[in-house]
Amino acid sequence: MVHAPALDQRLTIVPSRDAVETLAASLDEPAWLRDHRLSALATFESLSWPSAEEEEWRRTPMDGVPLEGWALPHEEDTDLPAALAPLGGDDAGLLSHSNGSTTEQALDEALAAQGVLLLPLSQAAREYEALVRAHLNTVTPVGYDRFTALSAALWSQGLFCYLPRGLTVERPLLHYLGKRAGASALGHTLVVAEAGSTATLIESCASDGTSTSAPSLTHHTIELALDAATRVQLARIQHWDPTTNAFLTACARLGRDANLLLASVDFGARLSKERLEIDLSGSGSHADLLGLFVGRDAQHIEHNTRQNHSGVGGSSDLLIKGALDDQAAAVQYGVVKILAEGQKTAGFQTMRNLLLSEGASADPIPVLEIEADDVQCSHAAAVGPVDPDHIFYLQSRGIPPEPAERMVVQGFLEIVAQRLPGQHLREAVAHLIEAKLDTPRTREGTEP
Amino acid sequence: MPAAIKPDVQKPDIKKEAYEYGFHDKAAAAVKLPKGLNPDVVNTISDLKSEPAWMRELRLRALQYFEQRPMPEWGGDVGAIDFNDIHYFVRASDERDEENWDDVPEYIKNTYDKLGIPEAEKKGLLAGVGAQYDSEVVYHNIRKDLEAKGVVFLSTDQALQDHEDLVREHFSTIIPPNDNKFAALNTAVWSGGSFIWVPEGVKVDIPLQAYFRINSEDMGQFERTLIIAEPGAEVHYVEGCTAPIYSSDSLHSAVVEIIAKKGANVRYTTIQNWSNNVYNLVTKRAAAYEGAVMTWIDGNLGSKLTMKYPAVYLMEPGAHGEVLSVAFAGQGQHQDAGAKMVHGAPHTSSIITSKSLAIDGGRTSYRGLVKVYEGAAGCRSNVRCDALMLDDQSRSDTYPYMEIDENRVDIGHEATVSKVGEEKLFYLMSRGLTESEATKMIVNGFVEPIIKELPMEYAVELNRLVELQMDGAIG
Amino acid sequence: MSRFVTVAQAEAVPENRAVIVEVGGRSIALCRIANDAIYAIDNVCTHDNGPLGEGVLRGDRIECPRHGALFDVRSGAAKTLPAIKPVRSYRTRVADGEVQVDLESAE
Repeated sequence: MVHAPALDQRLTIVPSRDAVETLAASLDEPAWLRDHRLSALATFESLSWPSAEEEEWRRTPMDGVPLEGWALPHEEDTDLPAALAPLGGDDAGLLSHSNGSTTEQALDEALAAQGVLLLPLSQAAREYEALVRAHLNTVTPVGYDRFTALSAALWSQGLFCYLPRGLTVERPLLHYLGKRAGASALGHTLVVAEAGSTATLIESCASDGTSTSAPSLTHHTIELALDAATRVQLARIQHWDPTTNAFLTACARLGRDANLLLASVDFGARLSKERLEIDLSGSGSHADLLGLFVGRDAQHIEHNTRQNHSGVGGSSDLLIKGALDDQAAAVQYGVVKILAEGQKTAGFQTMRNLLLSEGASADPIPVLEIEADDVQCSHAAAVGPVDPDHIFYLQSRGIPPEPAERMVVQGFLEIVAQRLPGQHLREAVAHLIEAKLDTPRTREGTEP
Repeated sequence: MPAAIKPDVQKPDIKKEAYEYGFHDKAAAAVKLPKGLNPDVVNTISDLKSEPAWMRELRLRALQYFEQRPMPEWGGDVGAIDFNDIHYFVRASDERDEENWDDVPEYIKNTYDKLGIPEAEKKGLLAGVGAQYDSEVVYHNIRKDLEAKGVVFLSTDQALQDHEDLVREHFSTIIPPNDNKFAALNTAVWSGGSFIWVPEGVKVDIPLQAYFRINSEDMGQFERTLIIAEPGAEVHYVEGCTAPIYSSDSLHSAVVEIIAKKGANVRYTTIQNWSNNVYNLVTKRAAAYEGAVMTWIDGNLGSKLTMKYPAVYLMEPGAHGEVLSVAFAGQGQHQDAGAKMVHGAPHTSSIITSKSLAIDGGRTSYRGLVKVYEGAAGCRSNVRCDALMLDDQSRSDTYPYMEIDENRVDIGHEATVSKVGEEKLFYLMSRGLTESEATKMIVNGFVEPIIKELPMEYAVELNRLVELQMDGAIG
Repeated sequence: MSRFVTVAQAEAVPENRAVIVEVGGRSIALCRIANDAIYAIDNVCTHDNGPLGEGVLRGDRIECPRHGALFDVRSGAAKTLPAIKPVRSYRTRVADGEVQVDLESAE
């Protein structure tokens, strides 16, 4: 592990007009974006932190999540954390952020010539004002909750991706997000896909650090504005250090016949809470939502999902699978909502949790709210240990119990991993699963 | 002050006759407390029943809890209930708790004749019958051979007089007065209900039955049922509920507590067909001990809003809990029903099967909880919920909560929501059935897994009720 | 080995309600039973983590203010649903007018 230097107390940010203006100036942002941030600051100030009274926050252990006093560095020339393994293989473009700064930026020239954009969001706001302005915070509202408002006011790790009409980007586009342990981070990813375009975006976040680092907060907003007949895949691999409290809000709006795959793979963080909301208002649109995680120690891994169907003939399929060891806990609260106009819709949810130790726990809650009649909806949720029949079978083939259990767990997670985009990513995730399962537990009964 | 309370005279006002059980009897009540809820009303109920002091104190404490607790903000819309516009106690007749059917007042007898209750008893289909009319039980009888074996089947009021120690030992231990707002209300003003005690090893082989009828307008019915099955005992209790249709809403808020001791087998069947202006807010819970089997069979066809989640707390190894639930929501109805299974001990098992139908703008919600405590290794739970949507005006929700704090378990939940399949309809219609006949056939097949668990005459009844509902909606 | 820690003055613990003390990172409810002794239990209901010590104490029973579960303050046993697991109880003694709790005696 890289030793994390002590963070400068002066980095501590208090959300204020001054902080927003200083940040906007340092990122060389146009006035409209600064004003947008200031208005988000006002929203932040008008909201309270989510409380346990709200259904989607009832099971989130907010004790220990730092809700003020964040160290939000903005440093030039920082290295990416070692934990950020290359994931994309042969990529078509790349944007790296570390400790609040853009550290690398590249895009295939042919694609750039065809109008594809892969830029820091601040730069895009400057150079493509009309395009960015027309979409920023239109899919994920600033006031979704207090975290999104905070992010909208003070993000420093922004990405803008634009896919011109009808264009297919074959190779993946990458977004790396790194930070030092103890540092907090706020980010924003905005993808605008014009009709008929196709692309895959892989976002990977990591930090080096140990369980003794100071607690930190990250929040990242993802917005996917997907026009008719687009095919977009976004996979996010989360590998924050064990003192990070990671929040993600990802929203997508799907046009007619649009097709989305949104995958989140979670290994790191003390607490990971992801709110994923898909607006399937385009008729015939389809979304695959995938979740894959391995929880160890006292990690809390939570997914809140919403599959909102208002378009005719839409379909969506959620699959979340995770393995939990030590005292790790998982929550899945997922809603399939079909409005009366969402006829001929199919909505599915599957949540499966493997509990590998006595202290592990899981609360899967798949909710259906159906107002249309011509629908096919189903959900399934399960919690249990490794199936002894499977282990018995492998043992009968001469495999000792421990490797047999490992094989069953990997096979269980493999079902989701196989649906991730690209062979290179699938292999990288398989290695990360193995490494996570192999990590010795830190301390019996350790509190987060 | 009790003296301040004077019975008033009931003024019936029938608005609609279409509902089959919509008739009501025009005879004046013997005692009817004025509307509203306060300590005087509670004291008066306790006075009228000549209760021991501990019960009066429990009622008064529960009233405080009721007043302190906020209305639930989840589930159905209970905001329109006006607690000041309800009669909390109506004694239909001075003749109470009769053992001889001939002694039951004529107008009440007519009601039950129309419902076919004495029929089944005469035919020997039942081991015992209780009939509650408004606040109190008007008729009670049990087969002599069961009585000889020591089986107690009384109105809870009578049981408090005859078996005070037994009641006191168990009353409110399964559902304490402050469990929830409506349990608190029931504890404050409860009246009637059944008390059943089955001695060790005694098997009551055919059902005990109770029939609940709300007859007065603006009345609340708050029966309280307590069933204790001693080790190895077996009993099946069946209850049916009806009410006339008035222009204003009524409230039914029962509490049912069940204790199934080691190796006991208790089955509790409800066919709820309240008229569509009754708020049906009921707390039902059972504790099942070592190797005991507790089954709730819950048919919800009537009411304006039902909120009811029968629970089984699996307290000791080998206990098994089961809920079979069928809900039918038509126009203006919301059936928010479900089940709770709490696995508190190793090697306990549970099954929840829920079937719901929404038609004509009705709304069905399945709301359930499976909880497994840490240390309850080797538990199994299987939840299966299916909802059928019969038109695009209706709504179906599924809220299956799970809290699993133990890894050596096998917990599964599956649910589906779908409409009546066009292929199936087409197939049946190609065989000469009309669309409504074909739809009914599909619906019957859909609820069949629950129907087949019912005693025969109830299966017939439920089928008939489903068809009646369908006729109103699609006929 | 027992280790008694002083947590309150005995005269500060009334009969009809619990006194809540924070000790050793735990929140503990001290409950006095008339003509008996002072008992100590965890201030957390085993049903829903409700603040048990804030409930009404009648005789040897304390009632969780959240859903009404009753516990025997002497043994910690759950006496009614919806609680089914006992609440942790501790050995206590009164010495020189001070209530002392043995935190390692949790049952």
